Order: sequence, then structure tokens, then C-alpha cells
Amino acid sequence: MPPPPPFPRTSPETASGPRGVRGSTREESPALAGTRPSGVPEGARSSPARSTTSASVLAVQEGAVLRLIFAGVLTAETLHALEKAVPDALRNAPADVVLDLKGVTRLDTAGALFLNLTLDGRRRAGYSCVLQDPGERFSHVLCIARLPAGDNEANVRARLKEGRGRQGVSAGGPVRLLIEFLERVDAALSASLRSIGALVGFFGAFLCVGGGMVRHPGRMRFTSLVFHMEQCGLRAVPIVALLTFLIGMVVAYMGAQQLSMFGAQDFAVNLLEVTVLREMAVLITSIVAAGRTASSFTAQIGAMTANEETAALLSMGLDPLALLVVPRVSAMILCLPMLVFLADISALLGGACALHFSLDMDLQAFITRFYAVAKLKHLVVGLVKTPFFGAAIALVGCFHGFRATRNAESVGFLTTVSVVQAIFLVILLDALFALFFTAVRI
Amino acid sequence: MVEEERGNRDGAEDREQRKCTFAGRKEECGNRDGAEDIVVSLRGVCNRFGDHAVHDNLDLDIRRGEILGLIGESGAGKSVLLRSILGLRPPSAGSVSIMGLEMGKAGEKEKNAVRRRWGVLFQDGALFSSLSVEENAAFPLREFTRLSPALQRKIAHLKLFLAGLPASAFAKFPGELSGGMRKRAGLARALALDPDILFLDEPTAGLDPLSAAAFDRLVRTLRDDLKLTVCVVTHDLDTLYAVCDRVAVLADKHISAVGDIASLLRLDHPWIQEYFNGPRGRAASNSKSEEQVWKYAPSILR
Repeated sequence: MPPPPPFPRTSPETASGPRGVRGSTREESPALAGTRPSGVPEGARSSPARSTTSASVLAVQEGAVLRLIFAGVLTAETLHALEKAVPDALRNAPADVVLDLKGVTRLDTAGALFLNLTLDGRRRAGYSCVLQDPGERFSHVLCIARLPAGDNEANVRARLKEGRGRQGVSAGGPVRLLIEFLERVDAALSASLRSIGALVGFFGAFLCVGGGMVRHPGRMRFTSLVFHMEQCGLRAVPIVALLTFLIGMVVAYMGAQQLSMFGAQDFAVNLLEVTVLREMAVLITSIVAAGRTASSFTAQIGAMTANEETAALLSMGLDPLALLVVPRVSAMILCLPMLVFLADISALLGGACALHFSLDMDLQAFITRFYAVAKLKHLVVGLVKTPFFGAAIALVGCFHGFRATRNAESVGFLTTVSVVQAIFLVILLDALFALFFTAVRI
Repeated sequence: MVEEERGNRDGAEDREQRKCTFAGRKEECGNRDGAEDIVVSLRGVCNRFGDHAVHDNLDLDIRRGEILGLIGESGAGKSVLLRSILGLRPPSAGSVSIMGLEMGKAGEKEKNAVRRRWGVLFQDGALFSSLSVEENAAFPLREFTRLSPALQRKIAHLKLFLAGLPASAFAKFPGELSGGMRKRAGLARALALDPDILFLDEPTAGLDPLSAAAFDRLVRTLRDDLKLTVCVVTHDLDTLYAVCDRVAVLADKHISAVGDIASLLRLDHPWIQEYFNGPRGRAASNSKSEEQVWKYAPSILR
């Protein structure tokens, strides 16, 4: 069967209306001579969907009465042609109006609503306005396509604006813009301060629950702990090893190049040891963990919160903190030091590799030199920081997960926020540690 | 079964008559034995998940202007069938024709044309959560028409009122609505472009009985007012009794029976007998609650 037109009732052949008045190619018929036609051009883009025709209107002055002759298909897709033309035709016509529907082949609720709105507007302005020839087929749709009196446009719009908060920029002078700018700064600032307060509160709640776990280790969910250790520890090994290997190479190579200017290229090993063990391996690993783990914690817990799973846990008398947060945070506290230790090894290997190529220092010589200059305290200083970083990353990730709402955007937005905050916290803590270690002269 | 065969036989004549009867579709659908045309036609549809066949050689016709209920046990594949019809999960074999267009073979442009002619209400409304209710209902208008925003809003309001939502809900976001209101808002969005076919997936699941009955009545009213063809996937026996012209039973991997409830009850199918004659089935068939319930419905619908 050849594909028939999807919608038989749109076929133009069935149009019984005056074809002469439809579309832009319409010619003024002799019968309309002396009247003032104000037709509307046919819609430029004909929708592939349902219509092959369009809507048009023709205004004809008949003595004291203005007759608007509608023709074609009046549906949501074609109505845009009438939307300007009808008010234009009515604007300068202080007359009674007849809306003539004889030529209309189809009318959907949108078209009927438009006609009803036109009628009402005209009647409110104090003129008589009638529909002529709606016919049996349209009277029903005209009857249902009415807005109740309670539909107060202004009300809805006001509420919409209110709901949107301060997102929409309203037009105004420079003073108004400045005020709006300050309002936004205020909103952003107080939101972030509140968020910091809430994060501290979350940390406190975690300490309470975590402290309980330390006293009763049997309550710990070990399956969950091991699972998360695999997810955020074991699975991060390849990327962390690769990145720190490259960073070790860069540090050693750059150091060797600069130091060889003073003939002190052997000190590249000292440089490598301090830089990598104290800072680089720790920071790179923590930042990778923040990107991988904080985001996944937020997304996991956020989806669970949006799905009311955390509410279900609470309703069973189970604490989401104990079930969801403690295993994740513990896993990070345990895993990050191990990851950083691996990262140290990998970075030193990278450095050895770079020195081998740039200074012809073979592995044997590198190890001998490293053994002579390395101090254990650098390694310890690096590793001591890691449990704190791990806890911060995991806590930020979980905290933002619990802030999720049923909104589809919220989880995505919160994931971004949690990664940014986790990286920020890692670097802030690192700076504080650097101050502390300087003060105690380690 | 009997009814379905007759439907098939009449199909050819119906297509002949369709050309001239498009205007009076409502009258047409009142006349069961006369001219009817098939809006959705499934032939030999198979769906498999790995080795597990959900549908095997399934045939189904939906006639213009009717409300067809689709029932079946949990896990019988009602939702999968609906997704196959909608093209969200193309069937493993067989053909789905909608308004004469075979969806499996049609081009993307033709399919899009058909997609604009149906409205779908998903189980939980599937409202866009970043848009307000009003914007949700106006969304198809915004995408597919060139109307001014003011008129789009007016039309959206009309559809929301038709779906029985109060004006106070228009500015809310889907997250702030109750389940019943979300369904109504989803219905308003499905109606935005005056579709010809409306697919409802469990429209009354999770609603209280009063809201469910009001929703049933709403579907019937809308069918009559907007001359819709409706396909309802449901478990709700009250919905079946109150709304559906015909009921299709999905069992044993195909449509094992189609017909009005009276004719289904005469069949000797164990599952159908159990379904309609179980305690809940009998209660639903005896219930006259529809009229009583109606007075609680939103005033706009009365």
C-alpha cells in the first residue's frame, strides 16, 4: 500500500471553503471589490507533520460591520500566520465584527482558543463580536477551548518569577543593574557560607557515627568497605602511576637542565626526592582521587537521595551515615596513603628514567645517590597528609550527594561542585600542612 | 478474538470510507459495526531479550476513536509492547504501522511527523524537572510551532485546565507536585499539540481511588471532546470497566483475546476468568462509584 498521508483530515482536497481567499497567491475576486483586504501571507515553513495547508484571514468591511473571513487549517502549527494579522485588522476598526469560519477546514483546540480569546477581547472593548458559521463540527471544540475566569496571567507570571529567584535579568538603569549585581554577590556568598557551615555540621555527624564505629568495629560494613577500596583505590592505580611517572620525569629533567648550568646536575636527585616525596606525588594523587572519587560518591549518593533510597533507610531506622558514608570515607582514608606510596615509587622511577636519558646516569648510580641523600622524613611528611586529604575528598563527595533533590539537574550540578570543592580543600589543607611543618621545622 | 477478526476483515473497506468521513470521527466511532479504521496496527511482532521471548508473533489493532485497554500479568511485556509501538525499542521482528505508516521502514522525517501526532503519558509523568509545569505543557508548542510565547502560554493553560490542574500549580516545578498532579501535568503536555492518539502507561497507578476515578473520567471526556484514540496500559480494573471500549489481553506472549469486557468474560481462558472474576474484579464490576466520585472532581471538568 503506498503510504497514505498520515492524516486524512488534513488533505487539502477536502477543503470546501473559498479557495480564492487562501494563501499568498490569492487574487482579489470581483465580489470583494471596494473592500479593504488585508490578507496574511502563507506560512513560509510548511510543517512536514500534519498540514499541507495554512491559515489565512481576509478583512472585509461591510457597512458598519467588519467581517474577518478565515480560511484553511487553524491549528497550533498554522496559527502563527493569524497571530499578528487579526489584531492588526482589528486595531483600527471601531466596529462590530463577524468572524466567518466558512472556509475553515480544520480547527484544533489551539485555534479555537485563539478565536475565543479574540471574541472575548473584542467584547471587553465594548463591541459586538459573533462567530458565523462555526458549523456542527466546530461548535464542540469551540465550547471546550475556553480558559476559566480564574486564569490570571499576571498571577502566574509573578509566581514564576518568584520561583525562579533572582535568575532573570530585568531591564533597568545602571543603578538597578548594580543593585542586582550586589544582590547576586550576596546570594552567592551567603549560599557558600551556609554550605561551609553545613559541611562542618556533616563532618561533626560523621565523627559521631565514625567514633561509634571505632568503639564497636562489628558495626562496620566490611563488604562495602572492601568494595569501595577496590573502586577508589585499586582501580585508580594505573592512572595515578602513569601521571606521577610523567611528573617525576618532568621534575627530574627540568631540574637536571637548570642545575647543569652550575655543574650541579647531581643535585637533581636531591631536588627530585624533596619535590616528589613531599608534595608532587601527594598532590597529583589527591587531585586525581578528587576527580574520580568525589564525583562518583556525589553521583551515587545523589541518585539514591533523589530516588528516596536514603529516606527508605532512615524509615527503617538505619543511619545512611553509617551505611553509606563511613565505608566510603574509611576506604579513602585507607587507600590514599597506599596510592601515594605507589605514586612515590612511580615518580622516582620516572625521575630515574629521565636522568638516565638526560645525564646518562644509570639506575645503579641513581640508587646509590638517592640512598646517600634521601631522608625518611620527606616520605613521612608526604604520607602523613594523605589520610586527611582522603577524608576531605570523601566527605565532600558524600555531603553533596545528600543535598540532591528530585531535580534532574541537581545531581550533575552537585557533582561539579563537589569536585571543585574537593580539589580546593586538598590544596588548602596542603598549604596549612606546609605552614605547620615549616613552623615545627621538619 | 472474534471481534478482532472482524476488525481485520473490515479494514479494507474502512480505508475506502475514511477519506470522506474524517470530519465526523466521533459519530463514526460510536457505530461499532460500521465504518472503522485502524490507527495502530501490529503484525507478527516479536520481542526477545537474549533467549527469552517476551512477545511471539503478536497481532493487535487499535481502531480510530476507541479506548483500548491493554492488560496482562506483571512481566507479561505490556510496557515493552508500548515501547515497541512508540519506537523506543524497535521490535525484534514484525511490523508496527501507525496511521498507515510502517514505522520500521519509514524515514526519520516521516516518523517524526507521526510522532507529533501522538501524545504519551509515561508512568510517572516524565516531566522535565528543570521546567515549571506551565513550561512543560508549553514545551511541544515551543518546539514545533511558531506561536508567540503569550499564546503558547494561553494554550498551555487550556491544556492544563483540561487535565484538571488548578492555576496555582502552573508555576510549580515537577519536584514540588504530588504524583497525581504530575500525571495530570504529563497529560497536559501529551495533549499540547492536539494529538490523534494518546498512549497512557499506568495512568492511575499510585493515585488514590477518587483521583483515579476522576482521571478515568477525564480520559473519557477528553476522548469525546478531542476525538482521541486512546491506548491505556493498566492494571486498574476500575479503569477497565469505567473507560475502555475494548480490552486486549496480553498472555502467552501474544494478544490472546480482544473485545469488550462482556465478551472477554464469555471466553474460557483461565487467566482472564481469574482476572475478572477474582475478588477485586468482581468488586470493580459491581461498583457504581463513578458517579459518586465525580462530584469531587475539579470543577473545571464538571
